[in-house]
Order: sequence, then structure tokens, then C-alpha cells
Amino acid sequence: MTSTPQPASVAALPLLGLFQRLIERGATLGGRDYLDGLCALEAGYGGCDPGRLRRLAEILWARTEEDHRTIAQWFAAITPLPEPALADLNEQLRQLEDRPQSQQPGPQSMPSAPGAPAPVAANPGVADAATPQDDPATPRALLAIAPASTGQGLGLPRLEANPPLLGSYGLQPRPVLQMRQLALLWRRLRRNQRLGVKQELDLQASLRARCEQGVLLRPVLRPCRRNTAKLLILADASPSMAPWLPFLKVLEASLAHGRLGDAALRWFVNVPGTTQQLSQQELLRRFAGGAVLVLSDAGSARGLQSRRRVRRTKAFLDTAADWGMQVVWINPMPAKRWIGSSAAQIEEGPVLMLPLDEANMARAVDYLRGAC
Amino acid sequence: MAAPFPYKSFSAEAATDYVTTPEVAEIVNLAIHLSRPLLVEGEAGCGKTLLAHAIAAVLDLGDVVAVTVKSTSQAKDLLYRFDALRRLQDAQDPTNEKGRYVHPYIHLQPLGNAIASGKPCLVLIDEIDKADIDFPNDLLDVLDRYEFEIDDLPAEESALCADDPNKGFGRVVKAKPGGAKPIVVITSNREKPLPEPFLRRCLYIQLTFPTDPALLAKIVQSNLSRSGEQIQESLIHHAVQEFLAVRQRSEECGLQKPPSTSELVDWVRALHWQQRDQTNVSASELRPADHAILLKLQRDLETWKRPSDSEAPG
Repeated sequence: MTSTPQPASVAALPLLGLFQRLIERGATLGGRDYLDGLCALEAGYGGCDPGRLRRLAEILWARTEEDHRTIAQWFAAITPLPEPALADLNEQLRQLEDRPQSQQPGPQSMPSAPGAPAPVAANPGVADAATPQDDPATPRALLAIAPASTGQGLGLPRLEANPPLLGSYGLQPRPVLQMRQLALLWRRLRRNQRLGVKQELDLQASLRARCEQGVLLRPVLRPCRRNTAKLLILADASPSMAPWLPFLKVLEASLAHGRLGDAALRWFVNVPGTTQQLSQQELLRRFAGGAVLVLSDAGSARGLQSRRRVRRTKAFLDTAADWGMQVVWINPMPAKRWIGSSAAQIEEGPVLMLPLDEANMARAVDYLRGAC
Repeated sequence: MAAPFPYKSFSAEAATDYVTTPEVAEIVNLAIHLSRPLLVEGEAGCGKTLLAHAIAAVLDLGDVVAVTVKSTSQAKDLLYRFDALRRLQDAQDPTNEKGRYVHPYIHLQPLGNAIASGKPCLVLIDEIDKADIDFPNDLLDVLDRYEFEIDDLPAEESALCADDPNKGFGRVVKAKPGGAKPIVVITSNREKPLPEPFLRRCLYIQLTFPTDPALLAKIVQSNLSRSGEQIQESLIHHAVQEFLAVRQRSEECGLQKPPSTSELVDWVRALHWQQRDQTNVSASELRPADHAILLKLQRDLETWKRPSDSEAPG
């Protein structure tokens, strides 16, 4: 009678705590990535040296600064074993390796030297046995050798004081939406038409001609399908919009990747349409029938209310409507800040005003393409 | 019984024509072992493409299967091509039996061939950032499973195509049992950001410009030995020192394209041809020919020629 092999204990899985912590912090890792880590360890990568193990984790799982920081913190949290204990542990492991496979005791029956820490892993941090009472992301070795506290059981690691605000915070500016997200949004704005030089093979027409005439003198060609959608972005360059200037730069750069028929970003101050680069009439003519995305706080950043500004803005929106334009207003200030400012009055007018985030940008694009 | 691992180990020492570090070699070996694509990034001219050739040379893989990506490239172009026009022409002839089928007009392309052959080889996808932003995502699944489906091949012709001695693949193309997966090296100049799932799938190497003069001199000598050129060591060492000064000033001036290793190698060659020596090679007195080799952009050249604050007349 054969006994069913027991599945490997979750507690014995190497680097699982680190892997889980990376996922908790937003790294898009999957099971395949973890299995690759196990394969690499099995093949001898990572070795028995925490430095090499950390490097392996970085090679396989770190793609951003945040990932690197998480891995560094995780390894820094591992308190190295005292030298005598480490030597003793290595000696035990060496003896185990010397024995034949069949005589090797299970992890439960491993001999432990007096005074040595619990032999939870061949290498501190490699097997981070996550028992139910432990934090699964905390290296087991740290808990195993932490000094016993006044109560019973394992001493929990505690900070002696609040951590100093030194160099462990890597503040990196990130746009509200990445270039790639924006490019994909623009690609939803499609109005395909066959225009230009006939260069694409029209298989159906060619077959039809062959059937009708009995012979095909030359294949029938047709123009390629092109996106004729137009998008005009009017961005407010007034000082209150300064915090969003980096995002607006990304927005401008993303237009090149949107595969739009015509796209441009023009700046204005306070009232859309008052651009200096191109007269309003020329701009309206160029983007007639297209989509217009206005990005402005409309006075909500400072809580200002200006009747003149509202009147002139509404006049521009009416003109845009006359030219067949669909307009959406993106206000980067939170909606609760619009109350009592010009933004609230503009919102009441004939324009859809939305806050700036990914979901609302997608909604804006849907509106501009007539999908809602 | 599992087939033996088809690839040797790559080591920095074994790469005689390419100077690299053990850290890079470790990442290369991991990528090979885990069958994951290797993404190599770094500024233009820092040796990304040459790394792929060095790996192929050390691992005895023969010629690199190189695919240079263009702005119009699609992921499908790397896998297969369907010659619809030829089929249409052939179909006009009622006696042409070939034209009745699709599979004679399906031709596997470099990556598709490498996957189907199951032989150890290295596929270089050069400058992936030149392609459209969908390109990496479309390749993701192929590079994950090392198999793909030929959408243009009707399912009923799959067996026929697999039995064709000139084709030997069905609608689903994958390596024969026990076949090797190709090593895939992808280079990027980071002109466009790559999607995160793609970055996650690849193992990543960032080649940085070496600042150690001895290492730079070794890189130059390695490049020159590849082409069999003999140049005085004293000239190489002096050129490297001056080049580092040029490079430092480039960074201070904020040049868009600071000269990199490929420019250094070309410069040393040019200095040798011009029979210049240590007395007339100086970063502070570059000649027009030096400008042409080291500075590739007109704007960078203008910035370079502009006197610095310390040199400007008060």
C-alpha cells in the first residue's frame, strides 16, 4: 500500500513572505513568477548567501523603484544569525547532506543544538515559515531569534520609537494617468473612413470581378481605413493649474500615440478659445464636428466666482456647439470644491464636467465618441 | 525522460569579443534557464545588440536570428506571413491545384520559424520601442507559451499543412516534443514606455555607460580585435581619458544624445586613421571631424559649441 505524498507545506516555501509583500504593495506578479523563483533556486541561483538571494529576487520580481525598496526592506529586516549559531546550523546541515536520502529525518525531527535558534531554515530568510500567528510577510528567522519578551512565546519585533523621516521615502512624481493609459483612451475615439490612395487588396471585390468577368486582369484595390476622429484639447495655463502642468505635458505627448485623424493641444488662460497660437475661428474650422476636451479648474482651485468668466465660457461653448463639436470639461479639482466657484455655474450650463481620474476620463471619451 | 537542457551556460569570461560583468551573465543565464525573454535597455550605442551576438557566440548558436522592428511592425509579422495576393493570382488558373488551398501561401517568419524548429537558437528583436504600443502586448502570450495560432490557416487544412514536407506545422505552431525554446533577446532605447505586463514577463538588463577608464579601454580593444585592427594602446588610453571628459561635459550641458561606447570606438579608429597622437587629441579642442563622430544631433552640436559659463566673457 502506498501512502499519498503530502503537499509541501506552505510554511516551507522559500521567499513566499517577500513575494506576498510585493503583491500587497501593488506588484503585478503571478503564480508563474513565483514558480520561476523556485525553479531558479532549484537550479542553484540565489545560493546560500542572502546577498545573492536578494539579487535573485530583484532580477525576477523587481521592475520598479518601489519593488526594489520593498525587497531591500524585507532583507534588511532579517537579523543575521549570531556566528556561533550559524556555524552550528551549517554543521548540522552538512551532516544532513552527508546522510543517505532515506535516513534524513523530516523537519520536525531535526536535531537542535542547545542554545541554538530553532532550525527553521537552512538560510535565514530562505524559508520564512509563516505560521498562523506570525505575520506572513515577516521573515521567520527574525522571529525565531528575537529575544523573548516578558510574556510567554516568541518575542514580537517592536520599534523602539517612531521611525525617523530620513531617506527611506522615495517620492517620485507620477502623472495622474500614464502616457500608455491615455494613448489607449484616445484609441477608443474612432471614426473610421476609407480615404486616400487605393493600396489595400479588396478580396471580395476581386473575387466578384473574377466571377463576373471570368478573368481577373488585376486585383481590385481600395483605400485603407483611416481614423478621421478629431480631438482638440484646450488646457488652462493659468497659475492655478500649475500643479497639473506635468500631467498636461504627458497628455500632449500622448496624442501622438492615439492614432487620431487630427489632434492638438492648445493653451488658454481662464476662458477656453482665447488661444494666441491660432485664432478661434481657424481652430473651430479645423476641428469642426470633432471632439473638444477642456482641462481647467474653472476657478475652483481658488474658489473664485466670476460672472464675466462664466459668460465668456458659455459663449465659447455655444460657438463650439454651432460648429458641431462635442465638448467635455475635465476639472482636476475634486467635485466638492466646485461648489460656489465659476466651475459650478459652468457645470450647470451645456457642458459635461467631470473630475480627473481614469474612470472619468474613460467616461469623457465615451461621451465624445457619442457612446453615452 | 526529460530532454537534456539544450543550452550551455553563458559566462562573462567566455565572451572574448564582448566585455560584460558576471551580474549581467547571471541574468542572461537565468533568462535562458527559465525560458523568459531578456529585455536589454540602455542608451543608443552602449552594446545592447552586441550582447545578443556575444551570447550566441559563447553558446555556439550560430547566426543570430535578428528582427529589426519598425514603426509599422506588427507582432504577427514576426510569426508568419500569408501571401494573399499570390494566392489570388494562382486561383485564377483553374488548373492550378495549389491555389485551392491556403497553407502553401503561409510562410513562417523569424520568430515563428525559431519556435517551430525546436532547435537551440537566439532570436533578437531589436529596438522594440520603435513599434506601436500594442506590439509588446501582442507578443506577450507568444513569448509566454512559445506557441501561437495561425488565424489565416483554416482548421480543416491544419493536418494537411502539418503533413506537407515543406511546411510541417499545423494551425497551432509549437516546438516538437523535446524541442528547445529559442532564447529571445529584446532591445529597447526606451523611446516609448513598455507595458508593465510585458516588463514583468521579461528579465531585465540595464546597460549603463562604464565610467572606469580601464574597462572602457578593454571594450575598445575588444571591438578593434573583432575587426582585426591594431591600434597603439597609448592612443586608446589617451582617447578614453579625453572621451570621459567629453562625456562629462555632455552631461553638464544636458545633451540629448551623449556619445556612447560605439562613438568611442569610432573615434579611436578615426584618430588612428588621422595619425593623431596624445599631443593633438583633447576634449577641449575637438575638430570638426571629432564633432561629426561624437555628436549626432545638430542641437547637441550647437549646445556643445556654446561657451560654458566659465568660458563666457565677463
